[in-house]
Amino acid sequence: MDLKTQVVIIGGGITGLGIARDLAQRGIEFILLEKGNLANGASGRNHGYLHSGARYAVNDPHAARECIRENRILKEIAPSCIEDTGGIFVSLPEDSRTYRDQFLRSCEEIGIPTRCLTPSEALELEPNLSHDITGAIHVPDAAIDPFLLVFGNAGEAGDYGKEILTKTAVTRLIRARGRITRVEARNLVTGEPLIVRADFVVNAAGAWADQIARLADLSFELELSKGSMVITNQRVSHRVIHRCRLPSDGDIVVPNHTVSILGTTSLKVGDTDNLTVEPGEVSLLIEEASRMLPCLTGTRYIRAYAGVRPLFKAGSGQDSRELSRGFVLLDHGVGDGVKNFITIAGGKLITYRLMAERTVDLVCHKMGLTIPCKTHLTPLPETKAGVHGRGEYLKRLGQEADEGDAEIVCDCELVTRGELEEALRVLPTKGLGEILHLTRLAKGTCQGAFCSYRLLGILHAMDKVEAINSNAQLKGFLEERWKGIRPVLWGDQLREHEFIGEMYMGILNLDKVK
Amino acid sequence: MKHYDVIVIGMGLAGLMAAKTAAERGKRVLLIGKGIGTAHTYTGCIDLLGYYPAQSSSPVENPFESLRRLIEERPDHPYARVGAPDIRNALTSFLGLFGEKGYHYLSQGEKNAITLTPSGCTRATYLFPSTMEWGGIEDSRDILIVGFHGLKDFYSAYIAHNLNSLRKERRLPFGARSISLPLSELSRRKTAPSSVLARLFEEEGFRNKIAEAVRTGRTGEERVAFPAVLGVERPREVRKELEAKLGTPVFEIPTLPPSVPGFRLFQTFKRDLKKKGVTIIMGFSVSEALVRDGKCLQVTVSSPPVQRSYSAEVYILATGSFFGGGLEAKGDRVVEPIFNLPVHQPVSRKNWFGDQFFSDEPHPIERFGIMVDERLNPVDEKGRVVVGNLHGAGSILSHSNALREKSGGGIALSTGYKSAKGELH
Repeated sequence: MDLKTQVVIIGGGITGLGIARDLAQRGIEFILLEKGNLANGASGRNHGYLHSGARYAVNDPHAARECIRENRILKEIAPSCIEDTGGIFVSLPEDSRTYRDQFLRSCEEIGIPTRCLTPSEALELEPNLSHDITGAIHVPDAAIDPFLLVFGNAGEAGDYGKEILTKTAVTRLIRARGRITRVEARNLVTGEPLIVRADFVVNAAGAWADQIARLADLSFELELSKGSMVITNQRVSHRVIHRCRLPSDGDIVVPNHTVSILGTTSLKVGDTDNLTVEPGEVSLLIEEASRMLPCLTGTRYIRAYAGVRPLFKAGSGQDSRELSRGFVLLDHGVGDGVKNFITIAGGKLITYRLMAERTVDLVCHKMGLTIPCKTHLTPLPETKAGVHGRGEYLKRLGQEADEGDAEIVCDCELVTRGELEEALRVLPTKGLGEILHLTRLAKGTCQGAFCSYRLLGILHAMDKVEAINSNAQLKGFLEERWKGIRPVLWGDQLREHEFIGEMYMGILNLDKVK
Repeated sequence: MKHYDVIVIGMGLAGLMAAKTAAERGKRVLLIGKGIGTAHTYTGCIDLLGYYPAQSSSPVENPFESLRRLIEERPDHPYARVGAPDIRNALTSFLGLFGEKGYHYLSQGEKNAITLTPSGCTRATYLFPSTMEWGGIEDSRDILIVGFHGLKDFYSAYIAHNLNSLRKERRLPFGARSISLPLSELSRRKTAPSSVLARLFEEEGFRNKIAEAVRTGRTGEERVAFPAVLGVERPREVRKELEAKLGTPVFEIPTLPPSVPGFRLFQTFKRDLKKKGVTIIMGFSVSEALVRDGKCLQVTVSSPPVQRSYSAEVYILATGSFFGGGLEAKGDRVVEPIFNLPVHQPVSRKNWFGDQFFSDEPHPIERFGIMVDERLNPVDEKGRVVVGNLHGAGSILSHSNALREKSGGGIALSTGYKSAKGELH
């Protein structure tokens, strides 16, 4: 297939989709190529934490300023992706008083509103906190659902299969006369080759950005830092809970829908594609976080996962324009001699919109256009399937029970058949990975014991299965779930796991099916 | 303190079989279980040895022949501990639970039967309920698979799709087509789990509506498959009536849990045990055991604030694996919580699992469990008996590959049988 467009975006993470939305708003045509599913990399493997900037206030005030600014913007434009929980920094007896004072001063200078709480005030707000805390500071942190943010941006930017092509890997970037003249790609499901000709190519491939640059014979260095996180079975706090000290392992617990996420570790890795969480990391996170929330020692854990922070290594001989410590925008026309190629690298989930704005500004500048950015002014379309806050959700569930399809498919996360069918109609369903992020199916206590089978059953009932052997698809789905379950298998979660094994191998005999 | 001849702990297939076997030998038996066992989490078929070795994906044709091989090659396996004659005795005793005229179990002689799964795959088993009689895959008659919109754990289109794929791939001699009946038009319910739907099938009015809808939806298929919900108490009558109304053979395909055939199995055992005078304490678990000088003196059942202790000459531990609660995984080691028996396991949690869920090799954890000698007495790593008047049975035993071999039912019945048959004590 041969396509023509104005801008090719490589990468279907939040940065790529943010750029897509910005381009669409400014009336510029684009095609986005993603080798996996949307939010496959760091966008889908983070804490779901909407910084207030407080965490960086002391040692990175520049990043902190960006955070609080984007925090306010995202709360305005993406309310359906955000639960405005607030956050609390707690001090334990061994934590430095000096840091706390510095923290308060820095926040004030940057403009991050803080409110000091006595230990008893903090305990009243968060009864699971340790009784040893010596003080607490409230900041405007929040929880954000990165998947809904990705789907929200995608929903406004374009259509799946038309502008947004998933499972499509870029294989070659053809350079001629100081330009990229052709982007060659391949559909990883059908094997079909694809050629796109465009005026500009934007590399927003996150942790894979260096590999994409290499296709154009360019090189820069990324440092990959692995962060591991562990998910509890139920939510242990209403707010984001941090340790009031210099950021280190296991010092943050973020509420996320019905669960809490403990994080993080930081380990240099060489490879992005096979991230495993070691039992030792899980133990470390639980031990550290339980200093703030003692209930974490006895609670049930349902999953662990790791993401990669792609950090840009400066000074690799590029004529780069460093915009902030958080992210860099590389104009490969300057120095590298590839006029229509741009790389946007580094950054954080919370600054995705700003990164997109700067990238599209540069594209416009190069095109000789002066169309202003509006992404901070207009709200994202609401993804109906992902209403934040269980109250709203339960109300809707009640209505559905009266009106029709309230058959609950995922008993842990209360996902109805109607909701699932709606999501299946919207999304390309050859891969099942996105379904769970849009609906929370299989994300609860049992991690897909019953609902994985039901998902396949409903796909069949809707006649949406194209595979000859749909059980191979089911096995693939369960195999993905397994990666995250494995590090936390002990106690009740192990019992659950044995039950899952009984169902899928015992009853369905899938271990004997190719 | 009440005294019995035999106390059986655990109400799964192994515990039920042990209680039956002891009672038939004139023993006074107490059966204690914290729930209704785990029979309702399986298909309701009795697997003997579906696949051997465990990694193999082609079914065993004659399980008794393969058992002989297994007993030779894997001396630690529970089947090797039981021995071939008692495996047969256990199966015969099990079949005796059912009268020939009512709901009963069948086999294809000495051979494994290939049954259908709720994902449209095939699966080897040995004994199957009479309600699954017409589900054979050598049968060339086309199948109409009936599902229900509102039954979440069975999807007829899913099954038909994959059976038709198999038809091409493995040249199955029949085709399959599916219909899905909306439950809301057949009853006052929009949704029902299999257990509730099975009760509805016992109502004549409901059956009439089903028969009517199936007659309308059928296009010449000569067999009709339903999810395994054709009644709890009178499945034989329910099936016969549907067959008469439809004029075709009717059979069941298992569902995801709760399994109605599994529940029927449990009920049949329970009725039999009551008739034999077995005392059953259901809903309470044994919290601790008193062991002195290698002999168990009593077990304690706790139901706060009351604690009650019972003693016996012989104790049988059939508390299951992790799911049943017979084994518990603490942070980095596996324990047996009642007697604190030595558990076969590797040193570190890192080695509990392989890299992939559907790995070819069984996960090491599948083989964890208590070690026993040929008398099914628990032993330590060196083979020394730990508690002389205690016997283990069922999935708590180490060194089986039940999940991959499809041998769980046979292991439960045969170890349950052997643990209680008398000459061991």
